[in-house]
Amino acid sequence: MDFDLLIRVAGVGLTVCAAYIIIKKAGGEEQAMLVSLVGVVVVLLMLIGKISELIDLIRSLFGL
Amino acid sequence: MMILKICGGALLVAFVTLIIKQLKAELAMPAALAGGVILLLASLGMLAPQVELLGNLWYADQLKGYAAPLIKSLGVALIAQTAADICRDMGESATASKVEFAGKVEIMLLCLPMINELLDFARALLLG
Repeated sequence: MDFDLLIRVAGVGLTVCAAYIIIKKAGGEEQAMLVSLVGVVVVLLMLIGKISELIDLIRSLFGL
Repeated sequence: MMILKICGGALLVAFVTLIIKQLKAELAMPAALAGGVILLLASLGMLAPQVELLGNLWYADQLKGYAAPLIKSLGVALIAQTAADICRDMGESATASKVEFAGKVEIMLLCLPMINELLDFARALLLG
C-alpha cells in the first residue's frame, strides 16, 4: 500500500491551482481554463493505470 | 496490523480531498478516486487468501459447482458498488443506480443455473 499516487495527485492539484490563479491575474481567462482542463486530464491519465490494476486484480481474484 | 495503515490512509485521503476541494473543486474527485483505488487494492490483498480458502473448501466435495457463482457474485458486487460509489461522488446518482441495477442483473444471471437446478429438483419431488 503506497500513497505516492495520492500525494502526486495533490501536488498536481496545488500546481494547477497556482498556475490558474497566476494566469487569471495576468488576464488570460481562456488559457487559465485550458490549464485547469489539462490538469484534470493529466490526473485522470495518472489514475487510469491504477484503476486497470484494480480491475485486473478483481478479475483474477474472483475468476470473472 | 493492516487496519491501522488503512485507517491512517483513509484520514490522509479525506484531508487531501478536503484541501483540494477548497482550491480546485474539479480536482477533488480524482484525488478521492485515487485514495479509493489504493485503499481497495490494500483490502483486496488481504481478501485473497480468504477467497482461496473458500474456493478450496467448496471444491473439496460434491458442492463443486456452487463455489464459482458465489465468488463471482462477490466480485461483481464489489466492482459494481465501487463504480456506483464513484458516480455518486461525482453527483451522478442516476448513473450510479443504473450501475447497481446492472450488477444485480449480472448476479442473477450467474445464479440462473442454480435456480434452474432447484426448480428441477422441486419438479422431480412434486411429480415423482
